[in-house]
Amino acid sequence: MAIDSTASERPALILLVEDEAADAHLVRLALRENSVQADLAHVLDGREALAYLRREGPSFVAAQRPDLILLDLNMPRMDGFEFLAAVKRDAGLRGIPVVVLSTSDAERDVRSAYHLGAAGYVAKSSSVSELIAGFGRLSQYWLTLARLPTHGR
Amino acid sequence: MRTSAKQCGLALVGAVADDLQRAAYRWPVRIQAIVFFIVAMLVAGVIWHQERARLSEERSRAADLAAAQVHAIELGIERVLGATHALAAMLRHGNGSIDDFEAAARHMLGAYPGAIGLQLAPDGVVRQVFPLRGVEESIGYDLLRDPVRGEQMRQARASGQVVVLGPFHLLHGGLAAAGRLPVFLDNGQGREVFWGFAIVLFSLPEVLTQARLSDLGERGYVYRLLRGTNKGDEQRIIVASSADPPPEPVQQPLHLASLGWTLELAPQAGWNHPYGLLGKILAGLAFSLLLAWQAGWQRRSMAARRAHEEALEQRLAQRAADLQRFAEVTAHHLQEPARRVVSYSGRLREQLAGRIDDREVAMSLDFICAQAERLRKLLGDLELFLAADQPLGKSEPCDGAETVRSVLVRFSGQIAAAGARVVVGQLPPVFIDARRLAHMFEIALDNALRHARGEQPLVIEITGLAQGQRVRYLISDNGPGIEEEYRERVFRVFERLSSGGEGTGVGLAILRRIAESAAGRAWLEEAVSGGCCVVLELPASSQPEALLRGARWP
Amino acid sequence: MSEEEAMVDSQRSNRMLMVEDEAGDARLLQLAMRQSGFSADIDHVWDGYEALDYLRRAGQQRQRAPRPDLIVLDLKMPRLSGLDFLALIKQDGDLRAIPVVVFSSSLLETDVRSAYELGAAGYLIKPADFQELISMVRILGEYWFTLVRLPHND
Repeated sequence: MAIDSTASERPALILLVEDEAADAHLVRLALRENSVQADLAHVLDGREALAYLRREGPSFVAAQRPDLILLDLNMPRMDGFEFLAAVKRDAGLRGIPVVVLSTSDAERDVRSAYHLGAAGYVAKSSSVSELIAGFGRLSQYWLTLARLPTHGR
Repeated sequence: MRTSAKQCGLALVGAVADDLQRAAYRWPVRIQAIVFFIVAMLVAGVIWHQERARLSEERSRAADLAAAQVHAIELGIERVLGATHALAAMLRHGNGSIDDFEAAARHMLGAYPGAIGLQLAPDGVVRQVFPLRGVEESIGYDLLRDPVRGEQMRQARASGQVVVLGPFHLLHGGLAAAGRLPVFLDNGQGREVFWGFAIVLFSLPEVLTQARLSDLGERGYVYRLLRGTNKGDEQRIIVASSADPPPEPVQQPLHLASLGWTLELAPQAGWNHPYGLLGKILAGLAFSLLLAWQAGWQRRSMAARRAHEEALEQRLAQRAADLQRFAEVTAHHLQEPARRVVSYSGRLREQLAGRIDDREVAMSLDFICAQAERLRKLLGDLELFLAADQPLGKSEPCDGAETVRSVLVRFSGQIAAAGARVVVGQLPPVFIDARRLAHMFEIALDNALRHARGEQPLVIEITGLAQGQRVRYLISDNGPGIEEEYRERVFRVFERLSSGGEGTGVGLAILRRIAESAAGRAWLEEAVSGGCCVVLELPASSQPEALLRGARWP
Repeated sequence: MSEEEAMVDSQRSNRMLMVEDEAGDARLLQLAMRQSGFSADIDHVWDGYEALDYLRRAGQQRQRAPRPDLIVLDLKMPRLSGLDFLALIKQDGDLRAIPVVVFSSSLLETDVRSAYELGAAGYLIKPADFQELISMVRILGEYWFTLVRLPHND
């Protein structure tokens, strides 16, 4: 499949917002297993993610704007919904697609996520192989197929 | 325009009534005041009416009494007047004279009680008097020429009617009256010619005593006998029970010509009974207060009940919120670690595949994996169960047949695998959200497919029947069925009748929770074929929506 | 199908709304769908206005129009452009939860950025090659109809 390789010279940057090291590890594993050519930035909760995106604080001064955000819903301090709402309220950030990762299958959560502007709601599978397959589809869609608003960063 | 003005007025009245109602609800004191005022007005009206009736009754009783009394007095007087008639008869008999008047008169005074003197006045001039003592100067007095009474006597002479005059004060004390009867004698040529007057003097007290006038006092009345009733006339009291005139008396005139006497009568205590009236007013006030208090009490108890109900509702809402919160906790906080355990144990097993020599280690790992998976499933089912009372989409009239059709399409693989045949009958529409209706059919169908494997080929029948406002769907199979004692237990969360298998035993619990949250019911029956029959009872789609909304499971 | 899936996922078949004014492109997309092997009911409307009517169930024959799970949107359309349509449905509380994937031949970075800022859940470039289109549609389907959980928009 021909990708429009002129769109971005450097690999895409994914921001992973996930408080659980165990899950972050599985995401890295899944991306690696799928040979996804992307950089991964990892923050532990919504507030840290906002600080990252807004380049606030010493550790994020040189932070790069991500092409895609993978967001866990259940986090301390600022949960996924709050973070999602904050990103979509921010004119400078709302163009970044946010894909929600969640253990919850509840209709209410799914609806809320899309209502707030999520570009996908992925239920975390308990089976590692399914998880890997899922990340394969996800990266195919977002990193291979879709044109991301990466220019003009 | 007029209509709209009227509507405006109506609306205004309605608004005022609403306000009043609201005010009454908020301020029980106010409704008490209103109730008190209304009841007091009513009671006052009743008391006023009663008083009037009582007064008119008492007056008519007094009037009757007065009439009877007057009649008795008249009878007494007439009896005494009988003496004049006797004298007239004797005169006629003696042709104008009476032999030994004195003896006859003495005899007659004894015979006519109350009579105290007799006189004869031929041609109107008093000639004979008995007893004479003390009244000697009246001899020779010409009655017809009396300056005061002369006219009256002349009229009597013309009419022939007896004249009663009085009262007089007797010289030796006491009140008296006189009856003067004009006497006519035959002149020998068949003509009646005026002879003179036959006169009787009688003691008024005696006559009145005989008429039992004083009995009135014993019966609680005050009275007086008057001469001259018209206000202009000089009133002269003949006899009175007390010095004060009777208050607002009933009046009864004596019918005896020429007398012009009137009996006045009134109750001793007066016509009004202030204590009785006061008592009635007090009782009325007490009654009004009682009703007002009760109204206030009722209002207050209603308010209290309402407050209690609100508190109860709040507690229910709190419990529902707790359940919801529990569902969320289950979803997020319990499921996540369970999922991770499954993930990592599965990964570990993969990584160690073929590298474990110790059989027991491999077995432990297998158990960990299986139990982790089981835990995750249980949590997932619990979450499903907790969420099952929430409608998925809009509740509306739902076509059962269409829903079953789509469910059967999705289950076609499993149905084929089980070698089952599904027969669908008529399914009347019900009121629920379509997705949960489908979900219930899926659970029932899944239940039949997994548990109803008997010896003969599996036949699943899905039928429906409308029963007034309810519709029943029956999903029955020809499997081995479920014994009666277990038919309720299978609706409990995680209750399973067989060990092993994939199910966690939450399906039927979810089914019942859905049905009950949609104002329906669900239970098991024995199918005609002996198999198991899941019965879903739901509100018919024809029911008013408001009713259905009210009938939510808490 | 496991027990839970049978019970949770009582989804009707996937439903996609295609907003495309070019009959040729629409035809190609439908063909690619069929050949890529994932099943979805596709409804086709010709421009943004018609799409709005469809979604808002305006008009007699659309009163019971089903809500799509996904909208595939062309940008260059007469009457109401794709971006205007996108802005409108993302302001509509009932409709904003439906993901919209832009399917355009425009390579303009401003279009891409505008689409994402207005709430697009993907920006795909229409490929010239049919095989490429098939593979694109397959990835699209695998992401939206296999991987991702979609809201029920009924």
